[in-house]
Amino acid sequence: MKKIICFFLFLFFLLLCCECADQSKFKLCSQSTFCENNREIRKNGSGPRFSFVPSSAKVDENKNLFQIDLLRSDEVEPRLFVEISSVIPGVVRVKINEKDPDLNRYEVEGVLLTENFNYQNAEIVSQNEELILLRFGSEKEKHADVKLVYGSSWKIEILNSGGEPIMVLNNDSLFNFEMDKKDFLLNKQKEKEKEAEAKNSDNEKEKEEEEEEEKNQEDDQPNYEERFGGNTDSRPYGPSSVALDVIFPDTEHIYGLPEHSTKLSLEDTEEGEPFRLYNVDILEYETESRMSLYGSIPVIISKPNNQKTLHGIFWFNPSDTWIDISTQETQTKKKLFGKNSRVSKRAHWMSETGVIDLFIMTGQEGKMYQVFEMYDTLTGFPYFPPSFSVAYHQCRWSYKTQKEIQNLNEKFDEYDIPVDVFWMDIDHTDGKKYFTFDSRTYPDPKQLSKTVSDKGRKLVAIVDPHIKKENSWELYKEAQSNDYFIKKSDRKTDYEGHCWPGTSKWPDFLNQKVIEWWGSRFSYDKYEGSTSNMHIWNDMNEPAIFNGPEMSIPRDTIHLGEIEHRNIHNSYGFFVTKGTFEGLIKRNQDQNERPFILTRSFFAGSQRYSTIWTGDNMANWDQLKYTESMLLSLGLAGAPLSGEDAGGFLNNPDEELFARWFQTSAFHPFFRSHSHTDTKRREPWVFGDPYTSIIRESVKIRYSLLPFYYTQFYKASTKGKPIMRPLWLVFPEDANALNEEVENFSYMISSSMLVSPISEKNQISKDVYLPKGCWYDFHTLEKINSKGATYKIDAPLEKIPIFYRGGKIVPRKMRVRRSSHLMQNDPITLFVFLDENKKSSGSIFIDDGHSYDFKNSNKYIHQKISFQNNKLFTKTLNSNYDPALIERILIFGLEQTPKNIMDNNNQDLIFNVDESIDMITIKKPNLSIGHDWQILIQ
Amino acid sequence: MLIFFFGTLNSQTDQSFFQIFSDQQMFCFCKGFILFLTSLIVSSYCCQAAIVGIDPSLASHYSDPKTFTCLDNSKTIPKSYVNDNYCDCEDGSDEPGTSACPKGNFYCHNEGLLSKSIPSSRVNDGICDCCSGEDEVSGKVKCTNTCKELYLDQISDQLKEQEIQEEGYKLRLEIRKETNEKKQYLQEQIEITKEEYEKAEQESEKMSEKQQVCEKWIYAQKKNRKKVLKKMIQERLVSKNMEIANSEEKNDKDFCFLHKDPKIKKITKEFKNLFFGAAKKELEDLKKKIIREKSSMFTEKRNKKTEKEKFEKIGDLDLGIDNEFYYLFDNCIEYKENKYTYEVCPFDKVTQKENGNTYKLGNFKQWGELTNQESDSDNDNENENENEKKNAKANKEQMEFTGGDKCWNGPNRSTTVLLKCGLKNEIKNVQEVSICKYQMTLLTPIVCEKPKNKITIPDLTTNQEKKNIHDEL
Repeated sequence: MKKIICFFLFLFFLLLCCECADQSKFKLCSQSTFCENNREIRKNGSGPRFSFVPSSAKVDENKNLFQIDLLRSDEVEPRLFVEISSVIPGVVRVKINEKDPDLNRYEVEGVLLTENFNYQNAEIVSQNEELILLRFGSEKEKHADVKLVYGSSWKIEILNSGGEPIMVLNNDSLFNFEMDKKDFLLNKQKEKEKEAEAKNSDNEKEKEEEEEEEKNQEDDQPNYEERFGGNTDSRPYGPSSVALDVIFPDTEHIYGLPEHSTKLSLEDTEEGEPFRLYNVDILEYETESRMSLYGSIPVIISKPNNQKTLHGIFWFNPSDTWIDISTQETQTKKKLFGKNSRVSKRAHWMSETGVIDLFIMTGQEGKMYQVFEMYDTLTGFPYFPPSFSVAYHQCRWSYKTQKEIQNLNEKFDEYDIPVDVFWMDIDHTDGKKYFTFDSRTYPDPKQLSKTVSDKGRKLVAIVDPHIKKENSWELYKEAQSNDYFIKKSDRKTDYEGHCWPGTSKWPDFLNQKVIEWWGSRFSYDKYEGSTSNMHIWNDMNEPAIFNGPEMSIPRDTIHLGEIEHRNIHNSYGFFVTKGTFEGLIKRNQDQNERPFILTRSFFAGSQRYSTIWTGDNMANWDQLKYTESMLLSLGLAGAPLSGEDAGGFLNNPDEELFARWFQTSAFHPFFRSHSHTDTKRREPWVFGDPYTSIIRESVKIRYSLLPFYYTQFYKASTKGKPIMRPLWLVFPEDANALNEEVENFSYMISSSMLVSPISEKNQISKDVYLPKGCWYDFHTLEKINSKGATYKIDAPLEKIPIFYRGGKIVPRKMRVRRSSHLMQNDPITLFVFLDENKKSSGSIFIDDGHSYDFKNSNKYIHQKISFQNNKLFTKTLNSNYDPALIERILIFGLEQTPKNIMDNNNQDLIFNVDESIDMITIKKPNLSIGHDWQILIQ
Repeated sequence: MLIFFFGTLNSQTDQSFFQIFSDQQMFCFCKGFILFLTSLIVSSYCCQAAIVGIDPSLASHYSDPKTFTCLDNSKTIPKSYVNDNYCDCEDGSDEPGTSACPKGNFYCHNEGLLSKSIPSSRVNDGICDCCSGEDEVSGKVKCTNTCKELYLDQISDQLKEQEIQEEGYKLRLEIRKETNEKKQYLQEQIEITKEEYEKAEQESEKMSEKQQVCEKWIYAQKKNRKKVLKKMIQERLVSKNMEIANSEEKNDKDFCFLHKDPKIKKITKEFKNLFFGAAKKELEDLKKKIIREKSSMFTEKRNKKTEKEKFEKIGDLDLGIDNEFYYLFDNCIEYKENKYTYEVCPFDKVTQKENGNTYKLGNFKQWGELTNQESDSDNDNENENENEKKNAKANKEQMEFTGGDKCWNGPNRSTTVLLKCGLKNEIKNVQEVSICKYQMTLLTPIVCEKPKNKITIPDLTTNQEKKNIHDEL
């Protein structure tokens, strides 16, 4: 054991050395042929020109698809075509592929939810020598207009209802569709044909030459090999990259492209490296770097200047992708008034292979969140994990014995710190064979499960996708005999690489059978020691391979159907979680229990199956600071359920950093402490007071807010709205809010609370920008009437600036217990914060917290609560679950002392008023969530 | 003997005393008090106390029938607000019996046997925290009353502990006798070994001189023989009328061309014996013998040095009263866990073996500081630890071993050995408290203390029974 650990430590040591010393393990654009080439094209304007073939324009019979051919300027026959459709109202899909179906490129299946597609009627509204105007919509309503402009180079504009372009494709002619090898083969064939014709008469020579030629052909084959870091990528299909420029007119800020530890608003990249999306395992990643990390979501959200809406673009391509961002300033003389120059953003997308498949999500003015709903309709709404996962998680690499976890189970109670989940990292397994327990250190995992569940707590076990090559292991044998592993480029032998268990193989998740097999391994009889109380953590699913190129799998390895890995790389982790999710559903006979899954690698669609964490961060202030923008970015790209390793995974945080980290992490959707095996122990009590008390307080605040958070989780799963939001999303009209995020890393929880983390050492106060409106200090409950200004807020070690927003009602449970499960039947306290118009509203969702009954049999409560005209009243949207008693109602900011307060039965309610903070407390109003009621203040 | 005793106790108590409690819950507190706090005043508090969950020592604050003032004096509220399942006082004092106040406490009377305070958040949460189950009255869970068993277990543990302490202390005294007897011996040994070492040193010096003399003699012998040989060859050469003048000044090379001469050959053969045959062996053996003698002398010297240093070290160590910790000297204790074998050699080193690899977990550094204890250690018996801390004399309950083998990407291994009372030397447990920092508990009689307050089986039981019967009447 020790030996193995030492071996791993040694490996890690190596990794540490290599990676902190230089980032040379990972490619720069200049080391990636296709990125370099496409950048060259941009610099020199040397790319191939393509133009529309107007005569080929047509709408198909079903009036779903519009098609038009693309002709390369040096060719006679068009080999590409563009297909435009609107798959759901407001979403325009633009696809560019090769015409010859034999040459059709691979398109990954299972990411898009095609069952949600609702094709909009395509109609050519007008057509002339210069352009075609397309319209998508139902008969009653048009949803999107698309303008195709002919010219020497094709161009497509997506228009808003005012006819203004919101996105322009190929405006700068950076479109590229590499077909080198095919070009080569085609030319070869032509030559052959010509020669054959010419030498028709000379039969004798012909045979000889033909043979010779065949030989030559093999020798002539251009060598497309690409070498990097001691590895060679054979690239047997040659260059096949696709690239395109997209302009966001009149837009200063664009967001998205997670996962990067950069500022939220995407910065220009012309001077340096592009943003890269290629899922890799980086042990110590730097902040402010555009290098790729563990996951990729190729989505950009644009916020047009001075408009109250968002648009989005989803570049659906899971291969290695680089994106250059730049700013363009154009003079506009159209308008007499207002600005005469406008700032636009351009994204230059470059993918290694595949087709161009874009989804443009067009938001309507006044609807800030529409884009999220559109994107989630395409790729899935976030899953609704069980309620325990909203609470606090305790993790470390590793709790090495069952006894250690049992001990934690006691210690948390001893120190009166709530906790819901204990995590088992790689060492709980028998020799890193996942789906097993080490019988020496975890002799009775079922007993362990029961011990923690007696206090309402859960376990999470790690299951990574590398399978130890051990011939005597039943699981390995099963996969081996069914030919479930990814193959080497020779297409015959299994690919082998090094990971935690030593020599390992990787299941081919592109194979539906493998996904099902993987899922079946989670059944209770196969996964011995697992219980319904145990959930799953998928790590290393980039996939991470210690001796692979860029710490991952070679691109020329082969999946089912002879598909090269390069085609699907960024979606591998997604498919791992898909298999896990389906397995966890099926492990229960009624298939009615909601799984919890944490993943490190992700792609568009991962939100359907898993929560995401930001990987192996470090214990330093800088990383704490950038955590916020990383999580906000994930939320904007459709993955709102995310968090980070609180405290920093690598290195040792000092007690101040650790406490500060907990204070903000307690507000992140996923709240877990985790640490590297080389670090000092850091369970909350290790640091002692005042730090332990600060941590306790942070965790308790989270628990008291669970009814509010759980409701946000539910709303995210139905509306796709981010849980953590940048200020500008909630206050789109506030120009300051756009910059706020950049400088201060404040964020909103839903639209109800503002959190401004302290991420600097020794900082004891912070300048916090509060958008116009009423704000209520979370700690003191004092009110600030902000006109949209910055306030200096006290932030001694014990607290960070947090505000409730006037106009919002926040449900809490003030009886914080050892675990969230034990609080399930506790009464609710309603915090009602009035805005300047003395209005407020909020909602609450309640169900059993673990099953699909809310969906399958409508067993839930969803209630809207509003305050208006001195009346607090409810509107019950659904009330098919046990009502929750309200023990207390607190109303802030009424600015009047009531004479009496009555419920709808004209019963006087007991209340008192704290004038110092303008707070009315209604004691035990005898009302409950789940019944409709109203109370009147006189 | 012990088991038998408890058996009797059980049968006595089961039927009468505890049985009544479970039937009449309301009175159980009262009886609990009567049993242990015979004061009338206390019993009056008790019976008035329909207020659930108050600490008896705070009972007077709740005596006013009309109002209640929060214990922090922040406000006064109607008495009906006390335990009305709504938190009125910031300090939680108005809700001793419910979970309403975040800062409140609930007092488990536990029939007076094991009374304790628990946080209010544990009231009616579905987990039985009081052994009596008095914290769970919501019906979420039905608690079985385990106070009796717990109490008896605790007593039993304490008795066992006490027994071990007593036995161990006896052993300690015996050990002390032995080590004390050795005190003189040890001191003498310091002197003796020192002398012996010096003697050995002298002898080895003498031996060196002897060796030098011998070697000189052997050299002379060899030289002499060479001379004789040369002389004989010369004679032969002369007799053959081959003039070789001043042969002594000629090189050995010059003999070469003479090899073929049969007489020279004969002479050479004869004298070969002197250089390579039995005669030579004689000299070689003599030389070997000298070397052997010298080496054994050296070993002797080294052993004496080790001996001397060992006793010097013992002399430097703090071995406590009557040198009692000498008992642990040269006494290595082994412990196996999973595939690791640990060995502690007190005052020397700690090692860990695994599959033939041995890692040193530290060399003895010092008697450690008790205040240095890691807070996240696995404390099975917190109270026991604390008691022992109080009883600790000097630093004799913790040994620090430092400077072991270095960890990959980590510190040098180090170990803290905690000494606890036990009847023989054995390692109770080993943990890696943080990366490459180990902690072991070593049981040994040498730290057993004379139990101060002797625990006795509550002979109360019989009295209680009498009282119970009396009460019922």
